[in-house]
Amino acid sequence: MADQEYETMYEIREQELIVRLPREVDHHSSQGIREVTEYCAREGKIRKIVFDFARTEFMDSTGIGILLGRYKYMKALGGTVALANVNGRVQRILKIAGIFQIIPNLEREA
Amino acid sequence: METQAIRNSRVPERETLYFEIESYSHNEQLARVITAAYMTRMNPTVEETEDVKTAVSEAVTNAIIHGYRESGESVRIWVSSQGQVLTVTVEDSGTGIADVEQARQPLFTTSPDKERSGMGFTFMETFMDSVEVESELGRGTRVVMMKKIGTEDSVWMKQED
Repeated sequence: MADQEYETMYEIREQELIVRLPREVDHHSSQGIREVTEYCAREGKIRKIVFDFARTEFMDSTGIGILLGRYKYMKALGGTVALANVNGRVQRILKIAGIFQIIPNLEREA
Repeated sequence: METQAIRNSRVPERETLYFEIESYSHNEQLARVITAAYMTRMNPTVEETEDVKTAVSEAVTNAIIHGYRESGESVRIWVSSQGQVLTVTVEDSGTGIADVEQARQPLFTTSPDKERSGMGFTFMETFMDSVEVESELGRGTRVVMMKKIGTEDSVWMKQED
């Protein structure tokens, strides 16, 4: 299945980079997220990264590593990171890892 | 007692599925899906299935990234059930873990450069009832995870329908 739902998609809106995460966020599907976000921050003067979980039904600890890594990276640049469209399963994973104490949840359509 | 007998005639009391995957990242999903498919016979809740999928994903990803450094070697997986208790064993013959106690600590990782969260074992422990880790440097690692699936009540209810 070379379906789009298994790929991460990126969208730039002014100074915001929206990362539309795939159906399953694991070590395999998340490869490249770091490189793309760093390229966009460097070349596109991105001030904010929004991780959109609207399509995501599965996530393991790989997702936590990415969120924390991107949070530190953007913070060092004076930028921010936010979450959007967090659903049940992802919410449980994020809560266990304590992510909501660090990264704001926009609860909106990105 | 009659419903119990019907259930036993359909599924043996103890049965094991064994499979191997090559240690490439695209096989992580396959390992989760196969385990979830085995579990369906145990009449799990959606949450139980997701919990086990997450734990399997953590153990298999550890074997692929840390055990073998993605070199395409064999990760061996056993999934078995005894009554309503599911046991998943994930084994590799990779690098092994120097200090298992330390590796199990939340946020401990040997790969901060790869943005690993160090939450893998914590997630396994959170989503399964028990997690045992045996490891030897240069020999490999075996993780044995157990979880009770469903309740006796839900099994009986299902049979009486």
